[in-house]
Amino acid sequence: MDVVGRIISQGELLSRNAESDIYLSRYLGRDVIVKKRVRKPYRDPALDTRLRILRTYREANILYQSYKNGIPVPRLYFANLKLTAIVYSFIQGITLSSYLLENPPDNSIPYLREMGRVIGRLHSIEVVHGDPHPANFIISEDRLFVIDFGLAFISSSIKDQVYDLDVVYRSLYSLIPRYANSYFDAFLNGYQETYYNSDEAIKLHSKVARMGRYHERG
Amino acid sequence: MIVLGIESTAHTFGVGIIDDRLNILSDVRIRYNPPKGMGMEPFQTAEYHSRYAVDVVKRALEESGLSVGALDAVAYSRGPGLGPCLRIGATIARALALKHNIPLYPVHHAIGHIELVRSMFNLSNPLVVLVSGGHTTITAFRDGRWRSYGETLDITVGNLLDVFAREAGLDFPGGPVIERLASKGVRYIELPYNIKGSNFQFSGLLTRAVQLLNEGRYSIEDLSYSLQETAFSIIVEAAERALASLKDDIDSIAVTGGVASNNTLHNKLVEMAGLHGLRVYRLEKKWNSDNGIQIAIVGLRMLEHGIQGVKPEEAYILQRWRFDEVDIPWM
Ligand SMILES: Nc1ncnc2c1ncn2[C@@H]1O[C@H](COP(=O)(O)OP(=O)(O)OP(=O)(O)O)[C@@H](O)[C@H]1O
Ligand SMILES: Nc1ncnc2c1ncn2[C@@H]1O[C@H](COP(=O)(O)OP(=O)(O)OP(=O)(O)O)[C@@H](O)[C@H]1O
Ligand SMILES: [Mg+2]
Repeated sequence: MDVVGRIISQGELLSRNAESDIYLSRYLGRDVIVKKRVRKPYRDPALDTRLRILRTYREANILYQSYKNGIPVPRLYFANLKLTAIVYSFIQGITLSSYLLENPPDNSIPYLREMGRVIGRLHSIEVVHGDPHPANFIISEDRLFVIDFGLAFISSSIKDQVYDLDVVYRSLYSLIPRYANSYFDAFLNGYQETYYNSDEAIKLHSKVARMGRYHERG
Repeated sequence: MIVLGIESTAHTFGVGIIDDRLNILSDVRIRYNPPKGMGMEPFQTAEYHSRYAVDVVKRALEESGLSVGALDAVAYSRGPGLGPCLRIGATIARALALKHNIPLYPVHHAIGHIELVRSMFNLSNPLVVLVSGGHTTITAFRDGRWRSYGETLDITVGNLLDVFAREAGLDFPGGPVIERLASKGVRYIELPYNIKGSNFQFSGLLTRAVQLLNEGRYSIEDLSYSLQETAFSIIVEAAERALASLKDDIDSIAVTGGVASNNTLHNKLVEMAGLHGLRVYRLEKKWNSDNGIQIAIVGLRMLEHGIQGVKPEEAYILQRWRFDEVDIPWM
């Protein structure tokens, strides 16, 4: 058995998620996470295999690029495309989404600003996250880590970056409708601190913010 | 309590009558089918509806065996939809309410689809997959409204199927024709799969599918199969992501709207739901596509809840109107 297979077999299943099984295991004396993308019975096998391999590859590649650039992401140890699994460091903490649900705005705002800084730094290195929902951020000893790069891709297009902003806005809106606007403003403040082209992205976002909100019938 | 509902957002003009025990007393509809190879043209569609509208109302009353005097309220589809069609429904509803002095309720068409499936199965906290010509949205009820947990950012799945079918010279509506062809497909052809966070897009998929169609390298059966596989997998994946983000609050999955009649989509949802120990609820085919009962049932909820109707002179329409802007006080 190869090393990833061994790490999986020595680990314990932590959770089953929308697209993956998450195991907690050990590697070189450290706690590691194994994220294994599992087959979905509802998809055509050819399509299913293609998606799992592509996303595993992208996630590994972008985790590595981000880590190298000093962005707070888990450290990648292994990727195995055959098993569609990656091994990376365990981040001890709670997700930003549960934090936001349990804390008043005064406590939450600093983390939203930090979330904006993190996304701004990703955009600076031409990474679009693809799913920057608060559940994909982990608060650990006052640092904010970003995870789940399965839908991420490399792009310097403002339009793609605007999608990230839109996902943030919509996810805040569905998580905590009451504070969505002020939380999004805090996010944008942080975003402006770290991304040189943020003004253009923000401008385009407010223009297309209604994108998908109204459909013409055809 | 007895409510008459008028549906008139697009291709269908329908009148339905329902009572407060959810007995369907009548359901009459006509449907405009555009000439082969053409899309739906708003004025032609409205012209068709206007010719039969009064007759449809009469037939619905006849079928129920009731006189207009027996009605406690009238509901009409305020939107979203084609302006000229919406105006016909609104005008007739206004006239009925005025003449018989009963409350007049404006209804959001999509809320009608959702409320109908929810009520008929008595679901308490469903994740609703609304798939039609006008909508493609994953929604759940939170804080007084149906909120979107994933939706198309460009065209709807009904649009995708209908436009592809039109390009292929197939009949309108395209959905059922493509379903039949797809069942004979054997090979998955790679097509764009666009998920953006919890939302998704179909226009890249449509463009590529039409391009491959015109290249003529693949059979229409394989293309139909691959188109359905891709689009439906996207929807089911989005639904699964929505479930994950809503955690354990959801106790069932409902699917509605015209495309809900598709068995491939239904089976995929059932498989996904099975992974999470949930059941999928779907109404009989005719209740998935547009009808007057879906409007009547929302009117009934409003009446039961003591909501004031609108004044006839305020019975306007809204061509564009999001369902998550509508307050739902009766749930
Ligand atoms: N490095 C990590 N350290 C600690 N926990 C982690 C780590 N990676 C993932 N997790 C946990 O596993 C969960 C799922 O991870 P991830 O979002 O990457 O998977 P997913 O299959 O994309 O899930 P979903 O589709 O629900 O977003 C996270 O929400 C988090 O709780
Ligand atoms: N078996 C089927 N498979 C796939 N699609 C189908 C099937 N039957 C009907 N449809 C599609 O359903 C759509 C029509 O649905 P419906 O009547 O609910 O929608 P609409 O009025 O266009 O939109 P909305 O209800 O959102 O206003 C069409 O796009 C049609 O192709
Ligand atoms: Mg995730």
